Amino acid sequence: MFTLTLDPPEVSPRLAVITIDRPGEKVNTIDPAALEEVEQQFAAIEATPGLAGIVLISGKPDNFIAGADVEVFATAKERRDIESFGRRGHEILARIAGAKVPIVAAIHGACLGAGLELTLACTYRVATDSPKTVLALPEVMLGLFPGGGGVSRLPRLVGLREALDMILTGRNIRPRAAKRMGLVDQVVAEESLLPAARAAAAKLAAGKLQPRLHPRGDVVRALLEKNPLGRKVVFSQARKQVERKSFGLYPAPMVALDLIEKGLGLPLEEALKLEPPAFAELAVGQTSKSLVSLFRRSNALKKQPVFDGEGTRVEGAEVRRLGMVGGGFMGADIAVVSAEKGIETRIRDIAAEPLAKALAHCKAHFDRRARSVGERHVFKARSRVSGGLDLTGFSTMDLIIEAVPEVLGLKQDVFAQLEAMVPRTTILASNTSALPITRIAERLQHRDRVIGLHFFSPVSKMPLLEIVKTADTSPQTLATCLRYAAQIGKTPIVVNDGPGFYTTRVLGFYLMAALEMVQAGHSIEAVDRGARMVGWPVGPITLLDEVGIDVGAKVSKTLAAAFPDRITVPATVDQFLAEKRFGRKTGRGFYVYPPEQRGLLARRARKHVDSEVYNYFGGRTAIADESNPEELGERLTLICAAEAVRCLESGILQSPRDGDIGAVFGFGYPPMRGGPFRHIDALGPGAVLTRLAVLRERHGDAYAAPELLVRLAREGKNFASLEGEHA
Amino acid sequence: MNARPIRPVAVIAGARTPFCKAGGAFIRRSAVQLGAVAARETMLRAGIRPDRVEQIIFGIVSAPVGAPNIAREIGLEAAFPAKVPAYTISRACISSNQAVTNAADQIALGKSDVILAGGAETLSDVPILYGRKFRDALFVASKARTTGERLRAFRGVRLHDLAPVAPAIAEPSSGQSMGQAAEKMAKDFGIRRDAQDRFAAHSHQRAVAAWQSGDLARRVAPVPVPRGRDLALVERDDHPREDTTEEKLAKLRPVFDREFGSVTAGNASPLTDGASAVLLAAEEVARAEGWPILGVLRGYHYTAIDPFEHLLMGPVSAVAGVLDQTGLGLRDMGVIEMHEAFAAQVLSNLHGLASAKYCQEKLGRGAPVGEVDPDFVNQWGGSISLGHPFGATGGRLVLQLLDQMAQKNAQFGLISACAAGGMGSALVFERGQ
Repeated sequence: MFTLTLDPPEVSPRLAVITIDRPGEKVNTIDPAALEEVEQQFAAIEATPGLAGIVLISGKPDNFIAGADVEVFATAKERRDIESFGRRGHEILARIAGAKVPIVAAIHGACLGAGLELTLACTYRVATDSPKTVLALPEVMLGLFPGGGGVSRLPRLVGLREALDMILTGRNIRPRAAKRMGLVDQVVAEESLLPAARAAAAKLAAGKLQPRLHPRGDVVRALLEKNPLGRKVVFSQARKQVERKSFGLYPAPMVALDLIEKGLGLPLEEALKLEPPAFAELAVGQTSKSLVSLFRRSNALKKQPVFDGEGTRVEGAEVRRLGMVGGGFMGADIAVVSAEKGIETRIRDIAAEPLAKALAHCKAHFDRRARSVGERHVFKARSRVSGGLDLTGFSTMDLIIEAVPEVLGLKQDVFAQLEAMVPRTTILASNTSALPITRIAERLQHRDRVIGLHFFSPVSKMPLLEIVKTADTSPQTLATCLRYAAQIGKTPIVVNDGPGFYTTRVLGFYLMAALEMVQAGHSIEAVDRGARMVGWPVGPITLLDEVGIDVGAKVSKTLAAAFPDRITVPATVDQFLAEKRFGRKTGRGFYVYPPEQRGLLARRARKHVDSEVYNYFGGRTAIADESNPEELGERLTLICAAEAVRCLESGILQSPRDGDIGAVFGFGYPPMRGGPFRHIDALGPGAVLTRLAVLRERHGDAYAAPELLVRLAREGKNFASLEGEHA
Repeated sequence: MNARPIRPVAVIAGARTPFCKAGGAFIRRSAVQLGAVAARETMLRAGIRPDRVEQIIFGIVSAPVGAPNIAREIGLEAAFPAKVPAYTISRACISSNQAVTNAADQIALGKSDVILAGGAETLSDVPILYGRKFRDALFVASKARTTGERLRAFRGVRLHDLAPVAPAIAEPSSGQSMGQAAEKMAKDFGIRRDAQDRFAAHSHQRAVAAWQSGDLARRVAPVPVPRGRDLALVERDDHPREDTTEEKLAKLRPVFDREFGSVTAGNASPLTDGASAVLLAAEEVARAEGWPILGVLRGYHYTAIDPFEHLLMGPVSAVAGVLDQTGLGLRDMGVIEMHEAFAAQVLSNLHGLASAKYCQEKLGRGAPVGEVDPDFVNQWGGSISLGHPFGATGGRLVLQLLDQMAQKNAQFGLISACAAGGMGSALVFERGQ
């Protein structure tokens, strides 16, 4: 993994270049074996006479180090193992930090987590100005904190507030910003990286360049960070923010805050010693285990193979040209995301105004990107998107995605029109969120090329792609769509066709259950707050406003038609529709959204519940005592989990893994539970069954237990054991 | 040199942007952006992936200062594979005619199988220059090594030298403007004002009718243009006017000779922004691939005459030449498209073709080339009504000719165009079977 290149002895100053290149992997990650290797390399180098400096660089084209290998935490049996891995890492980092010669990190591509922590132990950091270069400490997203020296070294290097921001949010820092905050010392063009790093090493060795060890001081820093009182303010603010956002459900940010606060009062060596035990403690905890499992399983989903009837693996074709039929925001978003990944995309809309809107939406996206990474890095993506008013040229597309309004007849017409003009091999996909793909395809001659590609809004941010196959969908079609998902960097789950597929179906039950609670007398705020208290990123009523009540109504009615005994759409919804209260997009739904004010004195107006809407709920009597909103959240979560189980039971889902990933990435199932199936396993199928029985008694048949759950509880099994059966 | 097989060349697709008044709808678009729309739409209409294109050739007259090789920028802007080489040519108003015939030559010689040719022009975006004196001073100053030298460079520069100079549509050699040349031809060949106005009014009526029938629309691709913070689509040519009549045109005052003149803004072509593109391929390749063949280029000819005499009479000798080459006569032509720089110019050209005297004196031919009824040419409108983006008109002529030939099931069609410098161009197409 580490290759050492030594300058010949006569070269002065004599430098060593260590190239990091983990064999057989696309990106570099750090595992125990790698740690041992680093150790050996350094031993070898230190024995080299006349060596003046060392440069660390990656051998991967666009990646420095993506972090520690999560397999280490995922497969570690005991807390001890993780802690000793941490300690070993610290030993080696200490050795690097204490090296007699300067060590320069030459960073190009992703430099994340342990990778960034490694560079923090170096003397000097040079980064390229490429848009591929990002620096971040994303451990918090896995329920961890940067325990490889990050929480101790980062605040000392870049300052407390900057370090807290990076550690608590895990957000990406681009080269220019990294230079500004002192995270890197120098930013150079990609082709100059090695020469610049060598030059820096030589200058450091000669004493012509001093390593910068502390953040630049200014008045604010002096007031807030340089004295105990100021620091207290910063920490208490940070704690408040974390609490507000996490409802105390995620321990990692608090642990990190405590460590940083304690560590800043200690010498560096002492502070570092606090990291490994605290890290191991979190790593064996339920939250981190769930988040790590989501990460690993979503990575596995990105590589899922497709086999044909004879069991031969089918390779997907590369999608190079994409046709979008229907240019709503969704269509434009899909076009943009695809174009950024090298796919030429044509948007068709039947009227000039929506087409211009779609193109303007794309342009706005690219303009924003250009401001962040520079126009030259956006030019190609921009050039790949075009629009037209007809289907001209769609015969040259590899994949066509339909995103026209959710009307079955309209979609069938579009597909018939497309089939008449495209070659036999073109894949025809629908971005419908609820209409059965089988119905959409029923008038076609070649149904093997029809598939559902259900994207989530906003496409550029949402990681999931729900791929819906019908009984007719060919393995080739599926394989190509999986490859397309990989091309655009989405995590795919493959589900079978049915009303609402998986995500929409479960979401529909969730939203209708929330309305049911309001009908029963709970306040809208209590329902939303309850959901957030158990870990949903947004409350269901807010979500309904965001999605659009009109859209939600349509989807729910589709579901009600399919499952008449189990889901009903309250008449309330029609009142919303009649009054054109569609949610945020019309400025009012359940909440009222004050128009954004512009100008100097503009106050940020906040949404608030429109008390009028309670009148729509006929016969509702408000419940005065809302002392336990958390229980509402728990009930909503159980509704989702039970419906997910039914999706597995009826064959919509192919495995609990798909259901877990789809639920978390698709509609925000509390991530620290790892998804509905993992959640049930953690609670125990029997316990869930008992709880459902209680709720059914109190609140009706919506809480009926699914057959499969009853079976598992009876047999003493769980979903993890089922996963074995499926795999 | 060994004789190599000369391959017949087919036009298989084409598209253009709307043609819009200079300084109007496309004021914030560049020639590259317009050209990219025409190029991309041509490929989509052909139903052929851009990686089949082996060369891109574009024509332009007023090349942007920052991107003189617009063909290359168009290729990149329209997401053609980076490996497709591209060059730009300039031959006044017949620039894209030249792009088409250059492409045809390359294909005929077997150098390439598929080439995209076209032209683009935005007169909304012409370079405005300083006068020579100030430019010289700036250049000298840029080379100066000391402040003193730098200051000395500006000695002798007067305030009026700072006034910007816009490029004029005048002959560098004779100093004569196009309009003046058209006036001279009208007088010398006896082209009356009413005949010019009638021709121009016809041009508008025909263009409007061709838009209404959808004949023009199917080759025109919409162009997104900034409108405030959003985009709007420009979908149609904005020159053709339904309400243009001979009577209304008769009221306009002559521009170039206010006293004795007959050439007005109404019977001349307007300054226009737009782009066009045409996809050419070896006929054998097109047939093997099953691509539609709109027409096969049977011959072309370029000529030049003395620009001091009758600047825009080039088409007469060019048409005579291409007919000699192909062995065809004007009567064989089922469709004739003539570029309309001025009504006076088209009518003068037709006069020249039919005149035994002109053909004898200027072309040294024993007999006239032939007669053409002015009503027979440009039945879907011409440059007077549709507009004339210099670099792009040739591509429009090719598409408009081939589409009319298809509609009339005509076997042969002829294009002629005049250009600055006394040049003429003529092309003959035959419809594929």
